[in-house]
Parts: sequence; structure tokens; C-alpha cells
Amino acid sequence: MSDEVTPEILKTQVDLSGLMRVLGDHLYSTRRVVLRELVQNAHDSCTRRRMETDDDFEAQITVAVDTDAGTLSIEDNGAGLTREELIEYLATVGRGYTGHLRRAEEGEGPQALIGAFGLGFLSAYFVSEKVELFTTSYQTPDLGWVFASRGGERFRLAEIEPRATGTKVVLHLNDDASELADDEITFSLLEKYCGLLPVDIQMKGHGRVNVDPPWREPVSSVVKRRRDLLSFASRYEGLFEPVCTIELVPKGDNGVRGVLWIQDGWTFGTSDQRNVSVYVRGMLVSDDARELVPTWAGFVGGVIESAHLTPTASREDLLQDVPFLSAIDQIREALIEGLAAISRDQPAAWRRILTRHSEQLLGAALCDDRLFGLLAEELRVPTSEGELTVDAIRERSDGRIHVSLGEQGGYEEVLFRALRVPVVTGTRYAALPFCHAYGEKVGGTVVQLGTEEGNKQLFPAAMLAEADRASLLSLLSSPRRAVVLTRFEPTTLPAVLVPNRDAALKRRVEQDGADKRMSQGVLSLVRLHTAGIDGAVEARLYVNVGCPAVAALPTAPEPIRTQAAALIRSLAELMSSRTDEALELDMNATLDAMSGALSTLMGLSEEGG
Amino acid sequence: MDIWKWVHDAEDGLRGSGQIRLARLIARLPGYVCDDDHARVDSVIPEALALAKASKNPWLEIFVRHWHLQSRVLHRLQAREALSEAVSLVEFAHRDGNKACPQSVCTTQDLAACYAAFDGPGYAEERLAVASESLARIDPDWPCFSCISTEYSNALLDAGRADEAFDFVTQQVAAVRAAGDRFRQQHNMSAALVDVLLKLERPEEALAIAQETGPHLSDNHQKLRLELVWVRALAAVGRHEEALEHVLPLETIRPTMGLYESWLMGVEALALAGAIPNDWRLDAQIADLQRRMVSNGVVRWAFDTALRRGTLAVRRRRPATARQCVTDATALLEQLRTADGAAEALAALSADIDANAAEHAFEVPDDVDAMLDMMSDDPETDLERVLAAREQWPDHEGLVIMHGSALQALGRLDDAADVVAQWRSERDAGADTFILLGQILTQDGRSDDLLRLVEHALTHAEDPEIVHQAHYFGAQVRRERGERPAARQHLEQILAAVPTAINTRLTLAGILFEMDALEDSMAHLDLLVEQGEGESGSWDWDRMVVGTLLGRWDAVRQSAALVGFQADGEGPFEEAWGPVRVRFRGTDGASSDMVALRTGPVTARVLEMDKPTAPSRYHDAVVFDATPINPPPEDPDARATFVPLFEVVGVLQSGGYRMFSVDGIYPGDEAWEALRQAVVPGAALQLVSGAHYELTSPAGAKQRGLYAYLAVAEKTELAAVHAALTKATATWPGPIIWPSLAAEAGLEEVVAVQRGVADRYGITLDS
Repeated sequence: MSDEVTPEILKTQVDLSGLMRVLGDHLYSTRRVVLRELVQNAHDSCTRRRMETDDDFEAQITVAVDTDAGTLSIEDNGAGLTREELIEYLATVGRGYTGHLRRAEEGEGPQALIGAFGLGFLSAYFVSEKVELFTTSYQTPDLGWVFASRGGERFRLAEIEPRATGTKVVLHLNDDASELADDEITFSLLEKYCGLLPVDIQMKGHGRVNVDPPWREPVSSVVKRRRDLLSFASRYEGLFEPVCTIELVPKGDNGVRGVLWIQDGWTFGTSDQRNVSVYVRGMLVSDDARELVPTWAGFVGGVIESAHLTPTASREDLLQDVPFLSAIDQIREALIEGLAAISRDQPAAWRRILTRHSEQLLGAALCDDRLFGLLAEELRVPTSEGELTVDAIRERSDGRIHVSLGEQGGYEEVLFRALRVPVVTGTRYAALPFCHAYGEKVGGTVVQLGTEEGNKQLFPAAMLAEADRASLLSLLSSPRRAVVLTRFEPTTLPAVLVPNRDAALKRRVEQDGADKRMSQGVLSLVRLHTAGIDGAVEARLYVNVGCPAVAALPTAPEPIRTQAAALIRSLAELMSSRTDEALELDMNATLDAMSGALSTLMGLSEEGG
Repeated sequence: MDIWKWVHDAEDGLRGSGQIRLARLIARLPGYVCDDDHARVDSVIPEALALAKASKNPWLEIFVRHWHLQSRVLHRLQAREALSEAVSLVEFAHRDGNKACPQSVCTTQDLAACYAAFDGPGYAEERLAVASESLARIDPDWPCFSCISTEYSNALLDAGRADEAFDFVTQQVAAVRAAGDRFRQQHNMSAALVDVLLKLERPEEALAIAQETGPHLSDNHQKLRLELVWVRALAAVGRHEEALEHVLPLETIRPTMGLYESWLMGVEALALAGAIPNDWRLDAQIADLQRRMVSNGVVRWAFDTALRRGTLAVRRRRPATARQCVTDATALLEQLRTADGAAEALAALSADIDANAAEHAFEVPDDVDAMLDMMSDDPETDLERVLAAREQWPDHEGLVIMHGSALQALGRLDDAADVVAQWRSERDAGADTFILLGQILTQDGRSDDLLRLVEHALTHAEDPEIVHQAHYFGAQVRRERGERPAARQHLEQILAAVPTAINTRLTLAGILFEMDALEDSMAHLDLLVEQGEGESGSWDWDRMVVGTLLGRWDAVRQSAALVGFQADGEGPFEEAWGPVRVRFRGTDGASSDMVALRTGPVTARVLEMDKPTAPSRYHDAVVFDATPINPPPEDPDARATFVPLFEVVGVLQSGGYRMFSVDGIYPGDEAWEALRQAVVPGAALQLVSGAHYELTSPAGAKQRGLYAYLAVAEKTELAAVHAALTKATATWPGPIIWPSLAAEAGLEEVVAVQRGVADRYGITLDS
């Protein structure tokens, strides 16, 4: 350099190569972070000048790339560095001036300063063959310095002609980092990492980098604010258009501020598209801080900023400390209140949210009573009759909510299809627990088909004259089946056979060989349970006394009634047979009985004819 | 052994075979369980299980069912409900072919956990046997080694063998270390070790381990458990202030019963030490947990909890609460498998209460009226005092009410109902106790009992106040159950006795409206207006709705004027009062909102067109409920642009429009506007597409597209509309088509041509 006066070579005071290897492996996950670190240093330098001087200056950072030369430069009009400071802070890792200031200052200082670890400058060596730094300190305005180093272990320091107060860092990029000399890439990185910095940042050839988040401005009009937030959100949501936004307003000392938005992309129950960027003092610390947003909100994006969240040493994640936990609470509350407000004030957006994220919202409603209240009448669940709200289901099912878990697929299907009663597809995400919650909080009896409890509700005991009761029991009973006299719709269905799963279980664990498969201790616990099960009843025959054919049985003449009873039993056996492994059906015997009964009845009819 | 390997392999296999949904559920389920994300677990299980069964891979079925039980039994202690499933799963997992599934070992733990939840000490020996058998099947490098070792250690603790448990856990930790485990298993076992150390009263060591383990825990359940340990350990060493910082709010632990015992231990220690208030509120919280445990069949913990509450009650000098705890514990004692130690602890509590009885007794004033004035904001104190007073004045109704109310305030609704009902059953009681009993039953959700009470009162009671109240309760239950005719009868009875009961009449009018008995409903609303003597009321709004549906324009205008509308004139309102939105409910229960013009206080005409495939509501005249669904915003700026949204209660007149669409190349704003003007009377167009809608010409040029709805009134000739459209678009730069209208008009050639355009430009036709 022509303007150098007295160059000297000095050694850095730490094992830089070792340290950098460690840093490179663990701290800086991507080379792009260098840009953030150097802009941060420039920002800190401007802050320092504001704090330490009365200079009337407009802080500015200018970034430029030279693709042909393969360089990237970051220039600021901050405090600049003296020779001593250069040696002390750039040559000694971990003693960045910012940390010094943060310890020394209260008030504006710590809020405004970003750097904390004094490692920022080191990152430059990861991407550069050579790093040059030109500076003039406000303390020594008549002196200029150039600092240059390859690899960081040794550096050259020389006096140059004084410059305007401030610092310019020039990186001669190495081959691995040549993308940083790309105009477009660097601009978008700057926007992403530093867009929220309060200091004016310009990029040569592009103009202003700063994004100016709407929440830093006072609200002049609700409508305008909504529009500004939405346009801000569109800029930060990479995958989906935002449907609408929710502003995060600080609450309490630790409050975060920013914006959340609801994505327009469709989600399923387990989708997780949470996309949250966190800025601490204007610098991007994490672009995947999804844990700040509740897991039920897989459709939410957000940009938040806070001076109270603490970056980890890598500055690419956040410490999960008290402010972090309180931010989680704040965001959850804002989201719930915000969704309620959208449902009131932005009906079109609300409709869209309900359609796009209905499955997720079913799950979300289960996590918070307020959300449940908001969504209970709006969400539809899948049923055999199409998607319906639970209220519509209740209306069509006499206050009941029938849910099938799809394991049976047997008599209920026949029964309810005949009745056109909607049955909720309980195997779809959150459908079953949502129905339970609805029944509990709003009203309605959930009848879970294929369960003992469900059967009790479907088949309540019917009151009959004793003679009829005795007659039906004797006509319809058969070995290993218990007859239950009941009344249900449709009355065209005479009987339904439901296996007793407990009895089947008991049979299996008490048969020979169970002790070979299971060890003694386990078997003793298993049998402790099965000992209490009545294994004699393998299935229950629910007989519909409201069915005219059944009602006519007790008074029908013999042998018609015996044969008709056999037909009813066989019909019930056949209808249940395709569904359940628990029931060991003797198909031949059933068909024999059926055709025998039919023959007898036809014989009778011929006789009669 | 990496027991997760087969799971990962299975996941890969599922993905490879297109079963991505099941793969994803399998991958996420354990995380949901470990994070105590119960709502998620319950949301995904039915689907995961159905898909696993359908995949015909029994190992996957075992996996899903096991993780469900982990959540239900280990975390939520739904032991009674899940026992049958736990037994069934063990049997399934030990069938030939299934037993080799690494998770089959875990299913035995699920079963043992059910019994541990019922009565840990009672089943300690069986659990030890099961755990040691399981340990014999696995090595220290299995992740389940730490789980099953923990279960073994817990069983030893329950068996009162804490020293042995300490040696055992220490030895197991050494074993996993020797097997090369660096962190995970050791940390998993730390929880067990901490429990043992606390049992051995070595809290400092427990604290040290908790401190070391904390940062390594990743799942939420473990983190919460550790917080609870902090409280107990810090309380044990007298660092109460610090302990308070770790106390979890009740809401956090309530969904996860597995955390109750540890929470209770910590809270009890802090309350006994005076670090948190030992008062009735704390007791009510703990009693709630106890009730939950009883309902899950978690008998031993419920018993221990009753004793804990009893001890705290003695300490705060509340003998009646303490005796109630003894009663609770006595009932639970019978359900314990072994009463060793439990019976003695219960006896000790009873003795303690008796020993302090004289000193803790509450004084009763000489005068019963003075007693009634002593109601405080501490229902537990009231209860103690009223119990003492009732010994002196057993028949005093005021004291019974005080007694029942105190129990009600303490959340002991069953007891409250019993006390009041018992007293009423023994005498001809007045209306006050009847009302209290009705309120308690309502609050407790015991609607069947409430109806029985109502029936009994209506058959037997002579006191008109009781009859009145009985009808009131009856109407309330019937209405909630949707039994409108029965509710109507009750309300009519009330009105027969008290014709001026405004709210009753208003409710009845509402029910009649829901029953479609519009004339009857209107009669009551007319009466309300008459009784109002010129004052407006909420009935005026209902009357405008019903009156509009009935065409009673005089009444509608009268009520409109009463609430402040400009209502001169005759017949229906035909105003233009600005835009509103109206919400229709479809038969599926789902709602759709449409922009409309408000034509009167409760009427509007729909201005928005809907897609041609939906039933047309364009120009429908509707009646709406005048309470906006979206309350007006407070912010004046937002209020300026606020459009109210109303629920439609009926369609007065259908617009009678048929809906079609036009599609094609956008001709520019001017030409579009010209087209809108040019369509014949009885037809209207609404632009739907925006600047983003693009079509590609056959030559490959991208051009802005146009998609609009076209509504045609029933009387308007479709052919005339076609002709007008053809003429107006003849000079447009790109094609524009309306095949659905052409088809409806029977213009087959036009349809063929327009379909050809659609094909060439890639236009999707309405289906």
C-alpha cells in the first residue's frame, strides 16, 4: 500500500488456528454468518461513537461487493480504532470492545450493543484469504491505520493517511466463500440477518437494506397497520402467503414484540410448518425458533424481536432461560387472543384459516379451552355422511355423537347406514378427542361404537311383560351367547350379535401354552385380571323387541316361532362374522341352521298353500 | 441393542411403499408421549392404530399400542380403564412371531404399571417378579434397561426396601456405564436414584444429582419430574424460598396424574413449613386431585392423599375437614391390596384428631341469629362453625342452608346435596332449601337427579314458590336437553302463575320460535311489548324477526320505532342502510358469510354471488338475528370500516337466480366495465379473479385472465344473455367463454366451440 508509513508485523496472542478450528466446527454453522458478525461490529462501533462522543453524525454502514476482485467490504462511520485498540481487541480473542462496554454501561448501552463474545471479527478468517481493516479513531483523528492478516495468526499493522472517522473491513474471499462476492446473495443475506438493525445500512448498487418493521412505529390506523404487518410478513414467509397477521405487543419487562402470521398453505394434523425468526437487538439469531410457538400451531410463522432473549455462544440459537419461557407464554396468549380477534373482525381471513387448517385446529381446540370455545361450532369432523359440525351431528342423532374407530365395521355400519345417522370417523386426526371434548363442554353423549360402554348406550335394556321376556329368552338363547332384550332403531333389524372380547382374551391367556410364551410373573398379573372375567359368555345377542318380527315371536305358533328364532339368530351371526376375530363363528353350522329353518318354513307354506 | 433400529427400518419401508402417513405417525408418537402432549397423543392414536393394523405388521401394532399405554398408564395413570388393554397387549405381544419384537418386553412394563398405579405397595412383589424377568431378557445396552430398572427400584421402594433400592440403582448405573452408555440411560435412571435418596432422607445428594441431570433432559415429562424433585429436596433441606421458585402450578400437572404424588409431597412439605398457606383453598385443590385419583382407580395414592389432607387439616385446626379425610381414607383402605402400614397411619391420624378435639373445637354463639351473621369468606371455617351449631339447633333451616352453602363453596357438591336432601326428606321443608338443592344439582351436572327433584315437587309440594322454582329448574334442564315441548310446558305453568315474569316469557317466545310455532311466539312478544308500556326491550328485536317472518309489518315497525329506528310508513322495510355480512348455516353445520345490503332493522338482501356449483343466494331477502356475531371494535378508526356480521334466521324470499361463470382473457378495465353494463336486465356479473390469474395462449404467451360469476334471473332468457355477451365481447382481444350458460340454453354448437377454447387455453371448467 502506497500510503503506509511504518509497517510492522505482530503475532496474535492466542492459538488462533486451534481456536478457529473449534469455532469453525461448533459455533458458526454457516459461512454466511460472517456477514452478520461484521455488520454487527460496524453497528457496535457506531453505537460506541454515539455513546462516547458528542459528534453530530448519522450512523451508517455501507456494504459493497466486487465480484471480479472477489472482495466484500463493510464500512462504517463509527468510533474507529486506535493502534492500541487494534492490537488489544483484534489480536486478542474474547476481548471484543463490545463486551467491555456491555459490562461498563447501563441504560442505552447494553440494549443497543449486540456483540457479546468478542469473536465476531474472527469469523472473517473463515471466509478470507486475506483480511484488511482500515480505520481512524475519533480519539486520534489525525492517524490512520491498516491492519492486514492472512489466516489471523500474524498480522501486519501500518500507519496510513487518516480517513474520515470509522472503519472499513475488506475481505479477500477464499474459494469456498466466493458466493459472498455475489451481489444478489449478499443483499438477501444482509436483509435477512441485519434488516431489522436500527442503524442505516446501504448496499452499493442496491440501496437501503433496512426493513423497518411496522411494530416500531406507532399505530396511526388499524387498517393501515394490518396492511403493513401483512406486507412485512409476506417478505419473511418463504413458503406460503400469509393469510393475516397478529401483532405481538410487549407485556411486562421481558415482553417480545413482532408479528405472527397464519400461513395460507394447507396443513394436516401433524404438519409442522412453524417458521419463526428471532432478532435480538436487531440481529437475526435464529431463523428456526419454532419452539417459541405452540406445537398445535403448525401453521404459524413469525418474526419477533427482544432485547431480553439471550443467544447461545454460537449466536444461532437461544438460551432456554426465564425470558425465553415467558416469551413462549406471551406468544401462546397472543396467538389465542389474536385468533379470537380475527374471528370477530376479519371474517374472510377466518374462513380461510378454518378451511386451510381444520385438522390442526381440531387438535388445537383440545389444548386450550378458549380455542375450543372459538372453534367448537365452526370445525367440521369427518363422518359417514360427509364432514359435519358436531352440532349438526347431534341434531341428526338425537343428541348423540356416534364415533367409530373402524375396527368393527360390522353391525353399526348396517344399522346407521339404514338410519342415515352420521358416524364420526374416529380414526381421523383428533376427531375422537374433539367429539369427547364437545360432549363434555357443550353437550351430547359420545357413543364409541364397538366398545362395551358404547354398546350399553346403544342397547338400553327394554322392559317387557315377564311372559314375553321368558319366551324370547328361551327362543333366542344358544350356547355361549347371552341374550339381551333391548330396543333400537331401525326396527327392521331384529338382532345384533356382539362378541365379548374379554371372554376371548380370557380364553387365550388361560389356554395351554400361554405359560410357555409368557414368563411366570407376567402371567400371574395377566391372570389376576382375567380371573374376574366371565368366560362363558362369548357374545351378546342384542334382540330388538321393537322389531315387529321379534315382537310377534312369543305368540307365533310352533314350529314357526322356533324356526323364525333360528333365522334371527343366524342372521345376527352372519352379520357379525366378517368383522371380528374374537368371535369364532362356525359358518357351516350357522348356514345349516339357516337353511334348515328356511326349508321348514317353506314346507309349512307349501302345506298351507 | 438398538431397539429403535427396526422402527427406523420400518419407517423407511413404509415411506418406500407410500405409507407416508403411518411412517410419520410412528416417528412422532414417542415424542408426543414423552412431552406429555396428551391432546396430540389422543389425536393421532386412532389413526396410527388403524393404519398399523391395516399394514398387517403386528410389530407396528405393538409399537402404537405400547406407546399409547405409556401415555395412558405411566403418565396419566388411567389404570382402571386401560387394564384390559394392557393385558390384551401383553397377550398379543407374546404370541409366536410377535415376541421377537423388542417392544414386547415393554408391554409387560405397561401391565405392571397398571398395578403400580392401583396400589404400588400392594402389588410390589408381583412387580418385582415381572421386572426381574424382563431384565433377564435384555442387556444394559438396551434403552429399556433403565426404564425397567427404574420400575424395579420403584417396586423396592414401595416394598419398603429403600436401602436395597439404593444398591440396586447404583449397580444398574454402573452396568450401563460399563456397557458404554455415556449419558442417556444414566440420566434416565437419575430420577429413580433421586427418589431413592429422598426416601432415604439424603436430600443433599438428591439435589446434586438433580443439578447434574437437569441440562441433559430433553423431554418435557422428565423436566417436569425434575422440577418436582427440586421442590421436595429443597424443602427437605429447609431452602423454602428456593423451593417455591420450582413449584409447578396445578394447571401444569393436572393433566398428568403420574406427577401428582411428587407434587403433593413437595406442596405438603412447604405447607407444613409455613412457606405456602395451609388453607381451605389448598385443601380444595388437593381434594380435586384426590377425586381424580379415585376415579382412575389409583387407590393407594388417593389414600395417601386423604391422609395428607387430614394432617394438614389438623395442623390448621379444622377437625371437621380432618374427619372427612378419615372417612375418605377408611373407604379407600378397603380397596387396598395390603393394608400393612396404611391402617396404622389412618389410626394415627384419627388419634391425632381426637387428641386435639377439645382444643380445636369451634365456639358457637348463644343466639342462632348471631350465628347466621357469622358467614365469612372462608367456607371451611363456616363449615366447622355450622357443624358445631347444628348440634345445638339441628332443625334450623338457616343453618342447613349455611351448611350446604359451605360445602358447595368447598367444591364438595355431593356432600352438599346430601346434607340438604337429607334434611328436606325428614320434614315439610320450605322453598329456600329447595332452591339451594336445585342449584347444587345444577352445578354438579346431575340433571337426572334434578328432574327427579322437580317431579317430586310438582306432585307433592303445595308451596307455590317451590312449584314455581320446580318449573324453572325443569324448564332449564329440558331446554338444555333440547326437549322443547317439555320446556314449553314448564314455562307456561310459570307464566300462568306469574304473568309478568318477563324473562320467562322471553325464553318461552324463543323456544316457540325454535319450534317453528311463530304465531305463538309472536303472541308472547306482543304481550311483552304491551307490558313494557312504551319502554323498549330486547323482546322488540325478537319481535321484529318473528314479525318479519309472519309479515306483521305493523308490529315490526312499532318495535323498530321503539328501539329507535326511523320506522314511518307501511309494509316491509325497503331501505338501503349500507353493507352488512350475513352468515348462512348449511345442512352440514358449516357456515358461509356473504355481503348483503341491510334493508331494514333485521332484514338484508344478499349482494354477493357464490360459485355456480353452490346453491345461489344472490338477491335472497333474509331475516337475521340483530345481535352482531362480531362486536363493533372500540377503535374509532376500525369502527369506520366495520361491517357487522349477522346470523341468518330465515330466507324471506329467494332471489331466484341461476349461477354461471365466464372465463377467458381479461380485456382491460374499461372493456370489462362496458361488459358489466351491457348485460341484459335480469343478469349481473361479478369479477372474481385478480391480477394473479393468468392464462397461457396456444402460442405460449401469458396473459391476464378473467373469471367472473354470472347471475341470471329466472325470468330472463338465457339466449338473450348469450346474445348480449357475444355482442359485447366481439371486439375483445382474446377469447371469453360461458359454456355452462350456453349448455343450459341448449346452444350445443356454442358449447363445443367454447370448450375448444377452454382446452387450448387450459381453462378449468366449473364442475
